[in-house]
Amino acid sequence: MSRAPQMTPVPVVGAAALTAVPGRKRLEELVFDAARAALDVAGLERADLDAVVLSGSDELDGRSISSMLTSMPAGGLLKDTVKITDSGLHALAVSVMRILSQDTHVEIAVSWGVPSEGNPEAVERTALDPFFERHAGVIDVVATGMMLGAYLADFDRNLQEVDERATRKWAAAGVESCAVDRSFVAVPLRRGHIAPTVDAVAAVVLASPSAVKQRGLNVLGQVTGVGWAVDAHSVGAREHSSQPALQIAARHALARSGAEVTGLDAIEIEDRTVLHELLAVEAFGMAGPGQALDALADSSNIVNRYTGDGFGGLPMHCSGLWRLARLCERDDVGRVAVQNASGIAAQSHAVVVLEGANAA
Amino acid sequence: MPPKARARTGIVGVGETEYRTRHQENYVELAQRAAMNALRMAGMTPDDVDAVVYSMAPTEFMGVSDADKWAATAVGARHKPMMRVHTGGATGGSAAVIGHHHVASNLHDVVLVVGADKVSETPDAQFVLGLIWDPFYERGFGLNTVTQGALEAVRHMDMYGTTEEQMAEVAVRTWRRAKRNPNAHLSGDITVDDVINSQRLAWPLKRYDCCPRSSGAAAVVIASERVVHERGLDAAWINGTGAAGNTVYIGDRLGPNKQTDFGELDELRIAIEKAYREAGISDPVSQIDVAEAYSPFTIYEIQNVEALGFCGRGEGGPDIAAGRFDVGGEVVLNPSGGTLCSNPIAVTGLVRVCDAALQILGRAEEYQVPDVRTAVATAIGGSAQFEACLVLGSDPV
Repeated sequence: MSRAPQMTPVPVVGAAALTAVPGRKRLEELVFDAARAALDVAGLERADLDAVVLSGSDELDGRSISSMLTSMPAGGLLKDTVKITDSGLHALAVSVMRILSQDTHVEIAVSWGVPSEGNPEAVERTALDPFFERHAGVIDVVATGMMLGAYLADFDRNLQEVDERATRKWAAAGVESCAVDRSFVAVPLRRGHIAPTVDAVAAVVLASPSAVKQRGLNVLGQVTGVGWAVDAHSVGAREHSSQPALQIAARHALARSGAEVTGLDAIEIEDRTVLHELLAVEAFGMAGPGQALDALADSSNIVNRYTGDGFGGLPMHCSGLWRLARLCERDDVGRVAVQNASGIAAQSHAVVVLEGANAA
Repeated sequence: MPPKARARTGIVGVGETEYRTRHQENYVELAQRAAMNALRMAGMTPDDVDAVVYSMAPTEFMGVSDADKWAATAVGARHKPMMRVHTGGATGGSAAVIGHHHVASNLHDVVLVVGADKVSETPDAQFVLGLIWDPFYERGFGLNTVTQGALEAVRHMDMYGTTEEQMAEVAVRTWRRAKRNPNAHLSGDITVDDVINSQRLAWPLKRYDCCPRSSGAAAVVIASERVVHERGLDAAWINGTGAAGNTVYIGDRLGPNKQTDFGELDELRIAIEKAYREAGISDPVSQIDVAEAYSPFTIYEIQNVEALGFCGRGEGGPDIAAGRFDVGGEVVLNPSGGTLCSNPIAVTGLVRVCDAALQILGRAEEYQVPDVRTAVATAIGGSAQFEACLVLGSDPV
């Protein structure tokens, strides 16, 4: 019964992507800064908003209902306000659906991740099934180590190739020392295979086509497709050397946009580790199973081509919305798929297809 | 590409568990039972579901921070679209509204909205709820949801002369109605004196003025008009939705610069007005048959009937005490026993939607109100800060 018909494009009219120096500002102030900046880009005021969709993690924020404090700085005073606890791109998908429902005309989606205020590994531990996996301690790095081991074995790849890819990623991120930190955090995963995280907030303003016309808004890009999917919670129950949930999310988003993967200028992905980059390239169908290392060697500039390698500092929780906002700041972007993961060991994925200012 | 017309949506399946202090099943199994009950009523299987919206409020009660994702496989969501909605106590209502948007957008045909809570397993729910406030200003006052509710009651009493006896009447009538609902956590025959003489928690709220901590699960299946007709299903049509948010700060809802009043649930009125507008409700008392109102404290039931337009401001206490909203009255209020008798926080708003839908579908069994054509459900969360409202009908508008 599932259907993914081609979707009416939804215009992006405002966007802001901020990174923050830890300790300088409260979370509420960062959220306000991003929302205000996105509205300024759109030439809109808070009063113009019909609705606010938030995306954050209470547990990372250290507050039982963190949206109680962030909804007002995001613009939600006496507005339709809701929070999605999955990624920032899931929140954007909600805004898209409400505009397509003709329930609202102007929406802002705001997402944040401020890992410097919390202890992500402790939060990951509480996310695990309390009866089985919590005792085994299968937090993200452990799960990723297991998955990397399976990937290398299943496809007859070797760790040296992964190290070489990491070296290229550190170089692409402009990190001066390109030597991979070879210490193991969960064999065969090395510390140098993992992107560092940064504090970040992103906000994107969407408007219905009729609102764009009536208010004379400047369109920064069009959301032409959205897709999202979840996998099993237990890492042991999942495929270890592929990400079917991401394949499904990408397939839905591309089908709704009427695009083929070959028609994309780039994929902007959550490359939290080298392995996640390889799995994403394969999930999008840009390389066959186990062949992403070869594909990236030939045409690596298609991955995070516009918004930078995650090894330069990856926003936590909101990386997809953050990358999408950065895409909207550029005038050379064509058709791009953006991806965001959330949940333990990237259990959940969302993909948005954006046609930028330079789309054919 | 021209935009498509909004798809009409209807609730075609409702699933609930009983609401109790303890269950033999673990969290995931509870959610699964509600999901399967809803699918069974709809004549569907998990394969028929295009997407899942998960209703889950603070996870600290259970101590599993990805509780929704833990339940993903059990509710049939694996390898399907799923997202979690969280607006505190309003979560279930908000999740139902977002589920409606999944279908109304024409992106999905069948959506399962499901959630569960085991709040009764936490050793101290009010400690967790004390952590929801701003850490720099209001948290230090010792606020939790009971003391917040008490402050709202004091404000309403001060503005309108609402009395402890009128609030006690709410409890007496609600407990009595809950006797017909086998899922209700609390029910029975109590008197005004029982309520007045029960243990004081935070004046003027006493034990019987407050809801229990309940564990349980709830689910609805929302389908497009196309699926409803193709499969010949009965539907409770979602004819109107509304939502609103307000400032967290109680102090900003008092004083000369306030935009809304802390004693009035004015933010809920915003959500209700939008839902009524969409559903074509201009005279609520004559057009609405049943209201499932989110009332974890007796004062909330009084504020709800005022915000719903069933009476004027300040008239809720006297009107409830006079029996205007009893079974057989002008509008039947919480025939299920409502939130005061069962409060599994993560899904309480969804339970309101379930019970409103059951009334429309004629499936509420012992607590069925005759000839229900229009029902309304509300949900409230945070510091009475997040609100949701749905208007359901036996016919689409």
